[in-house]
Amino acid sequence: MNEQLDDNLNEAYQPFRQNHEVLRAALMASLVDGPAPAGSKRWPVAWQRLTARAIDSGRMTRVAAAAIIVVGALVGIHHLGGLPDGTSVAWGHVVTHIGEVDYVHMYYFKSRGSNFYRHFEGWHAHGKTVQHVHNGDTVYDDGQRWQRFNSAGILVQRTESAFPDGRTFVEKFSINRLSDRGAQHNKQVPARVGDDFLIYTFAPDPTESQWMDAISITVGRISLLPVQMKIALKNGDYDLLILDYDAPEKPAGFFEPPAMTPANGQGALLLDGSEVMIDITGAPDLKTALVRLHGKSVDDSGAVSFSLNITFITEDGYRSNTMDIEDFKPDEAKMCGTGGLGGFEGWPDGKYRNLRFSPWLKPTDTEDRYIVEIRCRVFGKPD
Amino acid sequence: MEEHSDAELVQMVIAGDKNAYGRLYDRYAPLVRAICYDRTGNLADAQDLAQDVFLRAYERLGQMRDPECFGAWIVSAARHCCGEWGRRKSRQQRRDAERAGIEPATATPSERVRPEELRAMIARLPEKERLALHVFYLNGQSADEACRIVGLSRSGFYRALERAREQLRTLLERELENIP
Repeated sequence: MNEQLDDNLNEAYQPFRQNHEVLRAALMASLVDGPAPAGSKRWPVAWQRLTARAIDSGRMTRVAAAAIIVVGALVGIHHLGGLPDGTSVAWGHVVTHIGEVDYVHMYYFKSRGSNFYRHFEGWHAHGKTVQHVHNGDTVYDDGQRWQRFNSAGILVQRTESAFPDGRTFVEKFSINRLSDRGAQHNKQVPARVGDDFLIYTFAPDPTESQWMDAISITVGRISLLPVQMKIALKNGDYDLLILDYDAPEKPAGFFEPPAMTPANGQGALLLDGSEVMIDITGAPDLKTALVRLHGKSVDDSGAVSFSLNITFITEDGYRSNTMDIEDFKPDEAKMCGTGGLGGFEGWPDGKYRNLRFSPWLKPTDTEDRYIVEIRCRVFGKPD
Repeated sequence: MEEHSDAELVQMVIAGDKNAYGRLYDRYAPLVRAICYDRTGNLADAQDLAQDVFLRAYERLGQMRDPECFGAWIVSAARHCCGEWGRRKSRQQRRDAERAGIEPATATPSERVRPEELRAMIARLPEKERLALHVFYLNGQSADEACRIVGLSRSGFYRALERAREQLRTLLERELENIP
């Protein structure tokens, strides 16, 4: 994972070095005068003509492309206005319909090359959602809390619901792309109309247009419910969400998360108090955790968060480095682990250990006093 | 080519050697582009904005109090220009929206494990962690120099780097819960 993340990061940073020589030449050509002396208020006059536009015509191309899209859309809408029934069903009607559905079953796939590298199966009913994720984890969201359990039934993450204030599942799974995007978005009409389906096509958000080609959503012509959402990427990859509404509805118990496994350690923490020693049981190779709560902050909405320091000590007496978990909110659990720079490959005995843990901070009746529960496991190097 | 310190290069530029500024540009332009990308969300705009940062910085080089701190100074200038860019962009979006009769669209950061998607995730990290990552992956300078640019102690720098990577891992793991 560390090597993979490193590779990914190196690749992600590569474009910041692209076109360097051309950009450098453009900058140097524009340095007409020397730097202004101290105290001067002189401003550059040449900066507008030295841009990346000259090298890959980025912005001009984008402006031209946007103009073509706008003209195309206007022509398309005009043309569609003359087609048979179904052409004028605005996307807003679809959003309204799906907002009224209280049960849906879905499959989600991400294609990369010739593989589906990630996928899940999900159910949403009565405001609750369950997802069976490709790696064996199960995610529950009951409208109050979002909780992730691993395949052993251990809680690894807990945070606020993804459905606050009645947000619908379609809003969640589309990150608001498919609704609430203003009047123009909701008035969009199908790009294609078949005997059975209406197909809506959306251009990507400008911030995503470098890698995303388009989003197309196939909607039942009679039901006005989406059956497929496809996000096409410029390199030919795609993400696919398939929705159906007629699978047997799951019983209420299906949407309930499993009973919580006992914590491996628990202790009382006082804000900005001393480090607390917590005995760890049931997690082979680990004996103790040293925990300290500090760094209280309150954001504009009044939400409180802390920093939590955790150090683990093994049965052999070796100490891990101290991990500082920031932005840690009460009544939430976080999935944490040893970082690539955490020094966990360099234990004094030379043994490799990968430590995964999930702390959960529970409020008490006393201000600034919390109970922390820790669930943890140590993994060796995979063969 | 003789390897001059930042301070020496700054003095050379002030004395009229434009090429010395090119060498400072070589050292810091990728980092400044990365900082600009955090705000603009696309490479072309980030490149434009970074050019603007360096041109403005050149004009104001004579006002630098401590030439040793060129790295931290140019990072600060980049952040300032990014703020201005963001405010300009918001005003422009509001004007466009008013003209078109629509609400401005909000950016929806992507959560994919692709270079551009990973960059979008990095842009969502807290500033300290983000900057530590940028410096670590782009500047290839000594730890002490990197710490000076970011304004952290050596241990603080590595802690920020570790937190950044851990947060990225968490974002990647949560990727599946958000479509697309």
